[in-house]
Amino acid sequence: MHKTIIRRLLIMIPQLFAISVLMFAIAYNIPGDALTGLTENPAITYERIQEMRYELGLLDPWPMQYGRWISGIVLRGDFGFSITHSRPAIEVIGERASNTFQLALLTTVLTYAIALPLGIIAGRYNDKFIDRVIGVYTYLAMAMPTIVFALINLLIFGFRLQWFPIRGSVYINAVPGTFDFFLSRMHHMILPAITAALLATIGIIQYLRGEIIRYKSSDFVTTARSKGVPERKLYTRHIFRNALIPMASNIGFIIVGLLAGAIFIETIFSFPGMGRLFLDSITLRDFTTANALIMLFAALTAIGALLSDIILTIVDPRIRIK
Amino acid sequence: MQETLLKIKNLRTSFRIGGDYFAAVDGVDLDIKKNEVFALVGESGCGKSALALSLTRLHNPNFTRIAGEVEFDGKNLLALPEAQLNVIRGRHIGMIFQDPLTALNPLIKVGHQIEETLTYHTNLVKTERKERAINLLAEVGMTNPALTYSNLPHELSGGMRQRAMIAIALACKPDLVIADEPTTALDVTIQAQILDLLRDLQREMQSSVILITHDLGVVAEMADRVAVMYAGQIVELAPVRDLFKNPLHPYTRSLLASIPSTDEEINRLHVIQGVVPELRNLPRTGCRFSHRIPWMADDIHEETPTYHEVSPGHFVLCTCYKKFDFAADNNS
Repeated sequence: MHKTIIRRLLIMIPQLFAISVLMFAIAYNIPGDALTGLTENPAITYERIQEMRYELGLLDPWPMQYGRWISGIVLRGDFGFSITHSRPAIEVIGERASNTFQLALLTTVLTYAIALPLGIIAGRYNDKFIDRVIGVYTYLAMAMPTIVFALINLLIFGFRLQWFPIRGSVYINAVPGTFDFFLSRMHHMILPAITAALLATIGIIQYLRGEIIRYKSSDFVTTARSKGVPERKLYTRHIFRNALIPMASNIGFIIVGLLAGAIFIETIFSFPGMGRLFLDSITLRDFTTANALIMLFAALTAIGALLSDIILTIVDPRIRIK
Repeated sequence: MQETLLKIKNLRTSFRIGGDYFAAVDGVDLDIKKNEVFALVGESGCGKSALALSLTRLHNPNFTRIAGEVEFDGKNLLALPEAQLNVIRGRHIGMIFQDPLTALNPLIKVGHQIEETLTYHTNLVKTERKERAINLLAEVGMTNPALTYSNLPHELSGGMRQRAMIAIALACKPDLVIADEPTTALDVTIQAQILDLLRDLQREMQSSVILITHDLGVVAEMADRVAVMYAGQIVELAPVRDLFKNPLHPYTRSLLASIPSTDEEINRLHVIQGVVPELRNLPRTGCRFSHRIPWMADDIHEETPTYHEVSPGHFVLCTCYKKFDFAADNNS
């Protein structure tokens, strides 16, 4: 097991290396750079901007720039300097990362807290009234674009009812480390997290429902029934555990998806997280930050896959990593 | 005459296909005696398993209807509330299924699956249950029962899994064991071992066995009485010796003729024409086997077939047995 984990982590190195080359080449070919915005400024001449570009090395061919960038990461752990933010990219990301991690964690908890009971109920009482109600919810959620749903929630619960703040991640005056700070943070996160969670549940609910229905008529459940196991125990002991295995193997990917994919939610709720930072970095041509974010997301995806496999070996005794 | 253990009266099990229900078991009356091995034979699709699962209502009620009566210990199992039925399932009636890989929960240790039966039917505490489970594993012939106890089903071979399945079914020494094709998924040498084991345990525990099979060799070796089933009906019922000595119904005779023999040299294997009709297209009137012996005249069958007792305990459905003749088939 430990050997496998180490081997899997080592395999990630060439994977990440390949991604970095590809990504850098693509970014280089997108028109514009961090200084493009300056051309709008009449006080700065084009010659001056070109001079600055030369000084920053932006005019060098991309393999050279890539070499500088990758050696910085490998040798000094330096992901480059963000010209837009006038600070190292890693610092800019670090500030946002904890916001996103907290939001992702809350969203994940809410997603499973909603999806597991609903999926179990829908599967247990399939084609009954309660299952149909859950079915209506999942179809609505499936048809609902994230942006629309987020805007509706923002409008109703943020602007009209004013139950939740409509922007930011914490009140400006809150002192870090205090309980008030924590409360304020939760208050800011709850609406975006519920919005994301309500939409993220559909796949889990439908899949879990299907698995439970499938296992209901499986041979080993008939065996258990023939032993005199009461109906309720058939579910808790035989059906649910078998049905939950595929869920467990997905959890790694779902967490990563939430970390990287909160772009819409973070943008609409003006939540200063990594998703929004990524979008801003692209529009401002701050490739240093964007590249560092992509590397981070890539590493997280690989770790998520590993995490899924580890979780799977815990819940399914038939699978053992050797 | 031996005492009756289980009495099946006019059992009718129907499955929903599309919007309608079609009877897979169509009016079966049977008495299972105490301490007997009762075999139920027939081709695939003639309703053997449907009958077996009906007895303790193991079919999914969402698309199955069961009518008639199954009388056991003075109670009608088909009308019993679920909670009371669960007292009988496993405790008084044990089941053994065809495929021991899918019939065991893949995530639960074999030992714990045996213990589960004990949990619901005995007052044994955990350590006693474990001890009993290990003893059972030894009884069904596991060479290292303590190890098998902690194995998961996939770690065992097919034969060992079926032994474990038998241990589960017999954990509470039930009065009746229903074995639904217990050896079909196993290879021949293992088949013999499992059947021997089943017979030994049956004798030791003095329980009755309903053995469902399509293998007439198994029937000859194991059974006391045999019922031959075709298209949801019992077409012939007889003590095992009578059936092999004097098979009467054309279907029984066709089944026996289909067994390849090593004694005489034959060029062609006898096959029964056609197949068991699909549930939806099953003729519900007249002799259901008539269309598979089309060379016989129509008037040999009864319009509404009835049972004829040809010798004590030997019943045949329809009068066609009297005139049936293989030789008249020009195609064979």
